[in-house]
Amino acid sequence: MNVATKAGALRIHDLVVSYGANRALDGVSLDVDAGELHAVIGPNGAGKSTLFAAVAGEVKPVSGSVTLDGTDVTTWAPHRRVRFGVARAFQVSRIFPTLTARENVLAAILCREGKASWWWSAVEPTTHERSTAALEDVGLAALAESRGDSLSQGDRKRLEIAMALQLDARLLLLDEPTAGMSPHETSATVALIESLWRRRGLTILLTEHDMSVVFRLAQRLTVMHRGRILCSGAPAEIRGRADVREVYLGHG
Amino acid sequence: MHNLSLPLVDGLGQGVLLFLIASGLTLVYGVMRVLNFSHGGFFMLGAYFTYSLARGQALPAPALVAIVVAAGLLTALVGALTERGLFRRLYPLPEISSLLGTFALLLVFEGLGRLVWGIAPLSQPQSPAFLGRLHLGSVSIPAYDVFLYAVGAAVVFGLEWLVEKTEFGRMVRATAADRQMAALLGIDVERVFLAMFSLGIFLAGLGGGLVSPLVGLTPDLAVSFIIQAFAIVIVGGLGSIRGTLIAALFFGLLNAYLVALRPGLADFSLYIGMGVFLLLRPQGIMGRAGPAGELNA
Amino acid sequence: MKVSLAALAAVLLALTVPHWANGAQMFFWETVLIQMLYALSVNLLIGHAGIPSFGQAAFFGVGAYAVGIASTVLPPIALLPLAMALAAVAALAVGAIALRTYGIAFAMVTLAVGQALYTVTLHVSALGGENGLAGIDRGMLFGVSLGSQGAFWYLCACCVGLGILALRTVYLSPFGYLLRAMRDDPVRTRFLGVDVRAQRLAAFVIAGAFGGLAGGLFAYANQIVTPDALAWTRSGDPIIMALIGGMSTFWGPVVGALVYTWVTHAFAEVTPAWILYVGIVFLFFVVVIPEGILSLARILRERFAR
Repeated sequence: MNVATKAGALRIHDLVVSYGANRALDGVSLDVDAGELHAVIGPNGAGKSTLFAAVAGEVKPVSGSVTLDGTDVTTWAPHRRVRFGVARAFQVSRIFPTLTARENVLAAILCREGKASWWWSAVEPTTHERSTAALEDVGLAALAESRGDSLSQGDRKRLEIAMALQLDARLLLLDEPTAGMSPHETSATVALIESLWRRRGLTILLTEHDMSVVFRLAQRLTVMHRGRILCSGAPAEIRGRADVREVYLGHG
Repeated sequence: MHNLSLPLVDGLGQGVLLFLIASGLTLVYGVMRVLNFSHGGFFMLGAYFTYSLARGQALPAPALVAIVVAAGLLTALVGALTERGLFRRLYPLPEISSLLGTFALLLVFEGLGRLVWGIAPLSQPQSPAFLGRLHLGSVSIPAYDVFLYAVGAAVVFGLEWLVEKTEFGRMVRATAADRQMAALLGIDVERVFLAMFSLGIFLAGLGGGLVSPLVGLTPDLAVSFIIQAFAIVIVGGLGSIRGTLIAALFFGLLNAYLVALRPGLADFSLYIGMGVFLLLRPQGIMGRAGPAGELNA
Repeated sequence: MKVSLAALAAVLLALTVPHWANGAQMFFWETVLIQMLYALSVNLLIGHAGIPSFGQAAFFGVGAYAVGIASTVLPPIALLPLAMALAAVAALAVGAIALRTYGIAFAMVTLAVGQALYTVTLHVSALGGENGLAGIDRGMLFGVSLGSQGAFWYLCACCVGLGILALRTVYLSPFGYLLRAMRDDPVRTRFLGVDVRAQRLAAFVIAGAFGGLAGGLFAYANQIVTPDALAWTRSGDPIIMALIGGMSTFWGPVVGALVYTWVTHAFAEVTPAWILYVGIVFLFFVVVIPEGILSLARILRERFAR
């Protein structure tokens, strides 16, 4: 019996995902410890997005397994995985444009409380208070009543992260969290991610193109190339490797 | 065998008519991504224009044909004006807004029909030449049906030639695939829209004109055919001419056979057929999987 | 439960109607109320859940015909809930299949369903065919005959009031919040842990149920039900009402129903081409005021707040 009971331990075993004739993931195996901050990097087309999609449940693998804290979730639909503790933040933040920031977080809280199907009762005041606290957590309290579509990219990222946190996730998937951000926004986001990670102790799997972000945040690093894992290890080790350089620089 | 060949002839004729109406609809959607509810209104106009030009008299076949074509062109003119005046404003709106807007326009057309031509059914007599029959072996086909087949074939080949073999057709395909890219490549997108819309409306008007000797003309024409046209377009795959043809012929035949064998089911069949089909293959016969198909002939 | 001044005023107004309105006027106001309920139910799908259903007349019709068939056998107090239940079951059956598609394909499937049911009512003799079912008996309620216009008015207003209350509760509930979230971004909602398809189906059933209630009341009010109740325009009218009033708000369809019914009646009395003017008004709203009347109210309020 598998005794991996700590929160957010992810085990991917021999995962194969095909889009038609194209093998986007060609037998990928990866272990992420509970509470680890793990980054996946690689050139475009390496299969990072597909890996995330497979962990989130958006694509069905041809073979292989995805296990979270000892439970095999390979065949689970996305919403079921979310209930089990996987949260996702997208490269282009997905928030609810016509709802206010507060209502956005409220939606997440209601889902966490399992009330999404409760059509008969009103929303309790305590839940409203929780939404305020959730916004304060990410520094968005001032924008609580602003509509989602009026928020800047950086604020939307924060909102998305706030929503993910309210889901009480054990595993957080961050898809290029600083994509398209100015250096200032990038710093702020990195600081936010780091502080939340330390406070909550959840497992974070992130993918990034900005190497400074990767080296600042990641405890461990995995390099992907053409649907396969090239190598895994501490950032310092990976940094110096010739084959990693080759993958990034050798193919113009 | 004789019993079953009647509905075949009939069904193909119906299919051609349905194709004419539906092809304009799918053309417009394929290029402009607008599902034009008011398409039926133009169909009605084509029928009414034919009546007005022919003054409700039975005319020799060539005259009737000329009038039908003229009615089609007149309708296309109205269509062009509507495109400039109204549809321009609908393009940037979300899909449901353009759906509602064209639905509103349909009501306007029906109202216009009532205002100008009245609610009482008008009748446009058929040309004597078309009332005859052609005999091929044991099968006798109404002359008008033969004419319709010819028109249908002409339209199919004409459209195919236009879209695949001409320079203009290339511009249309480019615009349908990616209008921003097309604009960047120097294609006058507005002109393409106007031309394709007018063509689609011409087909609708033509269809209306061709139907006019067959049915009583009321403003209801605007509404009665539109749902069938929608069904055909969706089942055929939005934006696909070939798919529309296949679907139109199929539904024409299905309807004709059901009317002959099981009249009670005839009306019902169209909608059940459409519903079932869409559940199994939401993108239609020729459509690509995903929210919208591209224009492919 | 908060009771606003407007709600109180509306209730008081409703109570006085039989005293100042004649039969025809009461019938008009009953129609308005029924349309309000119906439009609210349709907007639950189109405006709040983002589900473009163009065939809600199917469920309106199920409710109407249920009453048409059983009015001589069951009293309204039993028949109206039954009509709702039947409409809900129908919606469950249709939704379970139709919701496998989305967007335009879904809109067309629902349109097809509505039309299919329409042709059924036209051709099935047990349902009265083209002539429909006449002689609907309004029966009794608490010993009072509902045959009189006044008595029925109270039943109608009461049912509609309860229906509106129920839909308002749904709107303000957690379910309602998630429904609007789903309209905005179904993918994000899925990644909050919501089974989007089940949520949509639930909304579809609720909308169908209240559409059926409206249909049942409609049958009682007219005392006859014909295939007209299922004509596709019957699916289109509530959408127009919701758009005119404001699809993204709760009360929009109520305002829209009032305006639309009143305008339609006014025009219809003047010219047989009234549909032309209705179409023009509708067109105007789509192009110029897509957010509806209530959005104008909001804009004006914001202007004056300065």
